[in-house]
Amino acid sequence: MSFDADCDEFIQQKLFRTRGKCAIYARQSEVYVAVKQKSTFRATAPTLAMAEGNNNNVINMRHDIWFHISMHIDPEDVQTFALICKQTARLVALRAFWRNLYRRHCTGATAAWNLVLPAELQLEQIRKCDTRALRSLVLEALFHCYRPLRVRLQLGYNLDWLLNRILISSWQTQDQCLWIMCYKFSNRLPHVQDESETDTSEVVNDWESLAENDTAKLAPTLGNPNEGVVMLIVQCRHVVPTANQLSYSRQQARYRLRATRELLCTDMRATKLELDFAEDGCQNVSVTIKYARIEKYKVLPWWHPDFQRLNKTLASY
Amino acid sequence: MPSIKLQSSDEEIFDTDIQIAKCSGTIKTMLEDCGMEDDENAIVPLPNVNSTILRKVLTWAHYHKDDPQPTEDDESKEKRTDDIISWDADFLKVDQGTLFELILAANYLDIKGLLELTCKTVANMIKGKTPEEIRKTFNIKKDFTPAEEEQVRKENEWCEEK
Repeated sequence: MSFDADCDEFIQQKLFRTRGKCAIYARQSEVYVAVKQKSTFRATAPTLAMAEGNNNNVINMRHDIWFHISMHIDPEDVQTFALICKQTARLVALRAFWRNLYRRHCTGATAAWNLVLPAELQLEQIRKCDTRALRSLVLEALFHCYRPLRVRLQLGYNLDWLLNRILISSWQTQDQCLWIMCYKFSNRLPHVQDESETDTSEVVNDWESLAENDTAKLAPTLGNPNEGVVMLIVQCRHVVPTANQLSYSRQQARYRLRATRELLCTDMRATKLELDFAEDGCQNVSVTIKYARIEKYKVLPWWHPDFQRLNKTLASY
Repeated sequence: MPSIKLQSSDEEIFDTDIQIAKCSGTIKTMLEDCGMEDDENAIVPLPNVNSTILRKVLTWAHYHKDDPQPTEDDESKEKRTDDIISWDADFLKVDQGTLFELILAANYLDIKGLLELTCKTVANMIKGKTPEEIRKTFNIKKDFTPAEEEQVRKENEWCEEK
């Protein structure tokens, strides 16, 4: 068999193995190597010039400097770091960044198993996830292992976490003599999904990544569908039905929580809770839900260890 | 004690103890691969490091010459940002440009300890500041659109304390 025929057969096999995802290919004879002048300046310049751009004294820090710095950012500083510029935001989206955070703060004494973490957050479990899922799992693991974040969980989250979020669902259930009302709020519109979430069969243009995919397939998880969601759980003795207009289908839900009030009841023995909703894009409050007497409430953001547990338990009622 | 000549980008020669020079992975590899260890007149060119920075790097390497080499286990240990010894803290009381040059030099010369130290120092400079303050400190241009900024903020809201 000739060399070209070999190539053709290999390409056909590759195309078949990748179910047609391999969009481009080249014969070996079509590939050539050319020396390319590297455009980045090197560390030979005098002070500052190496790390900054050449105009207006505005620093254009090299990607590799930021990369090294990002490996030393503490978890509580991640948002601040990501908000510096696009370059730092991109670094925070890297798999290496999250793996590094996990390695620094969540690996146990044996590196293989950390007794503080539940089974689904152990190193072996999260290793093969895609980047979005990895990020989400590392984050949950950090709230188990990293002390400053653990302290936040212990202190609890207040009602301010719910403000300006869109109501995506609500339901209620009865547990003995108590009513449990659940609200789910999100910080993004329900119908808005990232392209990466919807397009799972994207065309891949380089063979190396396909080869990697062949050997080590990523777990089919594509991020956490609850990312951005905060749950409010209210316990009270009397049921308060959710207003009809708030109970739209998932696509139609357009109500934002504009204000919350936690007030002392007139007998000063309990508290009452009021939730003001307004249609999205409108400042005027159109619906207020009043709980005249509540036993207690809890705000659970999606990274809270109780979130997943309660989300499953309450949804199954 | 055997020494080696290191040449900076501005062609200054530094006569350096070979053991100190070998704390740099790059120099160590060059010496071993090119068989320059036994040649007293051999000059190791370092075209990516200028004399000011190379002098600082060698000062640091001299102070830390007896430090144990970091192992793989150390790599996976929690990297704290508040464990910088006072000598290192004083050593890094330099202007930002020099600090960034030291990061690049440590990276090029493959000196893990110095790279970690310099990066920790910058990470500490970021601590407790708002993004705007950090941009001001490092003279960085904000290149986010309001929508992009809001998206990044939302994605990382778990960091917030309310």
